[in-house]
Amino acid sequence: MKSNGVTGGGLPENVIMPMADIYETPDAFVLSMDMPGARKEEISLTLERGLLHVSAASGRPHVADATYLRREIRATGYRRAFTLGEGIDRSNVQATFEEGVLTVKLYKSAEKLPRDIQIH
Amino acid sequence: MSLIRWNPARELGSFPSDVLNMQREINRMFDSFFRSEIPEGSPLAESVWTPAVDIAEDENGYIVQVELPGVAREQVKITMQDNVLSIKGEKAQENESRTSSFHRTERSYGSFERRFSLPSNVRQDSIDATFKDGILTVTLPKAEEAKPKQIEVTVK
Repeated sequence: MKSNGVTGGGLPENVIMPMADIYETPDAFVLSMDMPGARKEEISLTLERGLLHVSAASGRPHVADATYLRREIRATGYRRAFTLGEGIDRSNVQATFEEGVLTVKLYKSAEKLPRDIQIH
Repeated sequence: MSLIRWNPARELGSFPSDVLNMQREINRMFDSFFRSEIPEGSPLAESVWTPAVDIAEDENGYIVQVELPGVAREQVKITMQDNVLSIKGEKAQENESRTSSFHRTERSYGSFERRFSLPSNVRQDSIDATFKDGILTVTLPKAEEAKPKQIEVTVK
């Protein structure tokens, strides 16, 4: 991951890797990523050959004609890819974006779900 | 022969001293306003994470933006006391995740606090805050007398 230094007054492109949590529930894997400043309509989520790609421009409103006294927020965009293991139902992926957090729910495929075995 | 640690500041000694003095003066000015205030022994020492903050100034006022993804609006408390702006709160884990098994945890959770001392020209009664897409924006307007005024002089 490369980050560009600030030169002059312009804003350099600085696409960062969003921090992610992954946890498992009985029926799904849940992926949540901190993406503050991203806008829901500008988030791209694609699933291709076992890879889940996430990318977004950060819609953080920059204050024009202002002098920055402190600048710690670096991201102008987010990008990350995840390799999906076997046992994920690729036709059943759900995503929500709330309060700057993208949550992707990847349901397990039917054969991976725990099932009761009947005793005859 | 002994090894001497290279001190880049020593080389600056050849700089004209007024340039160095000017730089020191500018640094001092930047330090006095919007300095992060971390009182010793405060609960901040136990702060688990530090959200990133941008502070911008234009002719109308100051705009403070804080990255708070996943923090609920009602968990953020903004206070202003003795010219010190304090933004604090807590980021809680999602309910569902508490009972699940984790494969990866990179996100930060827990309490946070950022404090900034403000210039005295802020109109403390009209500070405003909005929260959208995980970014908290606090707007602090300048008092009228602090704004640059343009005065027209008529030549008779």
